[in-house]
Amino acid sequence: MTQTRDLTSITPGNLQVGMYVVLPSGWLDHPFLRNQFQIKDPDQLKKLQDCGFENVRVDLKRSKLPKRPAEDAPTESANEAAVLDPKLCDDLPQWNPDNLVPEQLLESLHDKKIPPEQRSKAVYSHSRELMNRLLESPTAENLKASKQAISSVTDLILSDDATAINMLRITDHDFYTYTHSVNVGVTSIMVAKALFGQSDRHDMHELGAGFFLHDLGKVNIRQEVINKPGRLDDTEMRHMRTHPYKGFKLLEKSGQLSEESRIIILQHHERADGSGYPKQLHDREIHIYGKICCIADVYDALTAERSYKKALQPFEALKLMKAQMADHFNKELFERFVMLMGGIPR
Amino acid sequence: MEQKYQCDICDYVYDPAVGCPEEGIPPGTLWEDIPDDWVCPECGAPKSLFSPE
Repeated sequence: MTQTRDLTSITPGNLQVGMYVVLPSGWLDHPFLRNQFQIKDPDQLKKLQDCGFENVRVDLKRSKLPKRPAEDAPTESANEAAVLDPKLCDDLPQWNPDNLVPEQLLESLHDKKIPPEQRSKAVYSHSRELMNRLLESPTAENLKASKQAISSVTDLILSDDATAINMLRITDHDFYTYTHSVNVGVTSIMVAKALFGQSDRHDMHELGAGFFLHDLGKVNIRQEVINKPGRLDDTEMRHMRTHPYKGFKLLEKSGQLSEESRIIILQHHERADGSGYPKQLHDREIHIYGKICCIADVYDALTAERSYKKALQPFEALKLMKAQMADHFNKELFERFVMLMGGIPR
Repeated sequence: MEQKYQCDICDYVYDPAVGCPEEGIPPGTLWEDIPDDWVCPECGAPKSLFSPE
């Protein structure tokens, strides 16, 4: 074991979860997207050990190792403690641009060898984790970092039909805002893809970010209102209905999304018949991006389980939207939406 | 205490005791006495989109 500056060079067999590794070469030489990262789990450890490196440099000061001060060098027996002690996670920093985007998301986005089914599962679940972290720490820098990752997810949806359709098939329907954000994000990008095709008049990266971030304003809604099990009373509903404007302002202040894309956040609850909010706009006044997000948002809400209602099957949701909510949506867009969602094999 | 009004779009609260001096509404001005063309200083919503708090 040799020590150079702050890095300690150790053999792959002695690596363990929690260590912060600095890989010796460019990313073409290993399957990881970053050259420096903390080993998160045994799977990642195994992958690293299989790379064939003779030695790997470890930054012990940035490592989180169980039962030993970070300054200590690991010994042969350190390998036994393969899982990071959760108690040690308490002092991990809040999410920041360095750790916001899950390593596995970047890996699954860039590894073209993964079969579509497996890839879609990985991208979907790690996208949820990204949104979970972002909604916990929605700083301007984190918005910027998430936007880059969402751009890559958008590219995948645009370029890989099999993976994108599979992502729609496997969507979860719990009540978390981060799950809903990813569901609406993926669905809306699919609709935008069907509508706009290869047209370069639409910046799909900006659009994708707007769709994923449509509910960002919920971070400024009181927790007891967000988490209330049951229907909201009038006062709570009024407060909840401020989330489009709050999200819009938050993004405006962060300077991270284009004006056109921020409109998605502001208008995703407007309805074609003027019964939506916040501005009670009518069909011709609502931006096409806002209309797309609105339909995807309603569809996901109907197919999700809530404390006061069961989840509807996709077909039932579309039927209900047509029978009872037809006036809420632009007719032509709704027909396209039904064709798209109805055509997905279940 | 006089009735406060809250903006339905952004949650801004108009408190008659405070008024909205930066928009030319002095403290003590009742909601009813604010001009009809006044808009929310936070988001620009018209008076009609305010509700009693």
